[in-house]
Amino acid sequence: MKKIKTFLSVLAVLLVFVLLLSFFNRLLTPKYATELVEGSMIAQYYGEAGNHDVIFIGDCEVYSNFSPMEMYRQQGITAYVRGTSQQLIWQSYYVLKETLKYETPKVVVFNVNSMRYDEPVKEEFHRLTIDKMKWSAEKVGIINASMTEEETFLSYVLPILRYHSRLTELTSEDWEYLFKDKYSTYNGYLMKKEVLPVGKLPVKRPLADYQFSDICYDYLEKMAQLCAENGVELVLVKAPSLYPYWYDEYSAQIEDFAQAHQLRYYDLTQQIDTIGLDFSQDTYDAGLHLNLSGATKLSGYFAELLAENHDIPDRRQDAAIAAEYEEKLRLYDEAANGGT
Amino acid sequence: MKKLIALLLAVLMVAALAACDTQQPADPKDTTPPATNPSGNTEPSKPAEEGFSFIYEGVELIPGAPFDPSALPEADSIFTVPSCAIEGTDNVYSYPALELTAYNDGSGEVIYSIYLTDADTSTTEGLYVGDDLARVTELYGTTYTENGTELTFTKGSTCLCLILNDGTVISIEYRMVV
Repeated sequence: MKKIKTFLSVLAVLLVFVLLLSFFNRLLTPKYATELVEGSMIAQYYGEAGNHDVIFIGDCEVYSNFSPMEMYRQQGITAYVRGTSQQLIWQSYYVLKETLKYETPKVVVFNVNSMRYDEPVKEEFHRLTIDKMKWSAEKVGIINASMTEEETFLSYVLPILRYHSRLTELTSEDWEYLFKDKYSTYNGYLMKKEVLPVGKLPVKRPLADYQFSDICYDYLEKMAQLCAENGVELVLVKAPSLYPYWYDEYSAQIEDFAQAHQLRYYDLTQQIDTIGLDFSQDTYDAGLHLNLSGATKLSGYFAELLAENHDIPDRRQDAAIAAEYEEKLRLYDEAANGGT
Repeated sequence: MKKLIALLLAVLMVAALAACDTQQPADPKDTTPPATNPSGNTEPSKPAEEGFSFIYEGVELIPGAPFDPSALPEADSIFTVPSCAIEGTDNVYSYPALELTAYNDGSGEVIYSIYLTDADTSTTEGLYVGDDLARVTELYGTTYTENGTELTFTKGSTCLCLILNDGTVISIEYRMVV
């Protein structure tokens, strides 16, 4: 009897410890609900996964520039953007791998901007991609691939180790969203309506080396292979930003890769006039990303390419999908027509 | 009583975890260093000692040193390069002869790089865009590192980075060493 009591006591202590740990982990991890909302994009997908013909993968250039709502409105295309800030190519690979566990789209569009980055820019960006990712083999893979020397795997398992200093900096958001989530995107598209016209851009400086790194090619190769294995067409794209400069030498390398793997590559930095972009009104940050006006133009243009060149079907006649998107479009238009 | 002690111990263990002061990176919501500060160093920058410098409009500009825009004539333009999501921006100041990139280290702007944009402007030591490698080594010696077509001369916590094409200098930039 005494042994049973001791066992139950130990069990109770362990239970309390685990509960407290879970509570503090949850409390101290940033909620990404009203600030740094980019950190909640990965998680938003889980509730909306499935039935997309097109999945966009990449960095801020996908979630700022491509609007699935406009693609549906204009061509009846069902699409979702799985983009995160400064998503590095090895992270894109694992995000793609995870996505393919949830659904098999006809086309995956990968924005190749990250080919120019072969090392982490900031640890904080990793967290925006990884913190809210569900635990899976892909999450383990993305952590191992992303960690900087200063980071530990354990700090991803127990965010309390990473965010303990927030204990004294908690805000109302931390309590309000302790047990619920708030999402800000429309099928992964983060709407920004502000206008900051492009001014004088910095000089286009020559680079010492334009060659993409082996590690970037390795992961691009892996993405191509993964898509092929799953019967998904991989399409490479470079979003039409003005800065940082996308050099011709970069584009030539992607073109070579695309040809060698029989993929389509769209360098949209060369199609700015055709798309109809006007960087005096279609950008919210002076030429780096498009605002709603620019994203609407680009999404219409790209949806047409997808429909014509990649046989992406028009789903507007499907009653269930039409009903789902009618509601999504209502919310989207409400946000688009509301205040900034 | 034992249960109470056990419970208290559990609370203490969690509190200890929460309060542990390990060398972890900063909260993403904290002020973070900008994109062109690849070191991620949040320590306030100090003026470089014994480094390369460039005199412009009578003002000595040193990579890694604080930058006071009011000490120079008004820039032709200022291009702000924001981070995708996380706080922190770099400012690229354009002047007739150069572009100066500065980041904010929390206490003020710090010079990250000085890029010469005018072929008629030389380095402090007299190197111009268009000069050949012989002229480079004559002025700066032969102690440099080579990365692709870029030669880097390091002095203190600054460097002079030159890109050559077919033996001719096509780019001159002063940078802070990170």
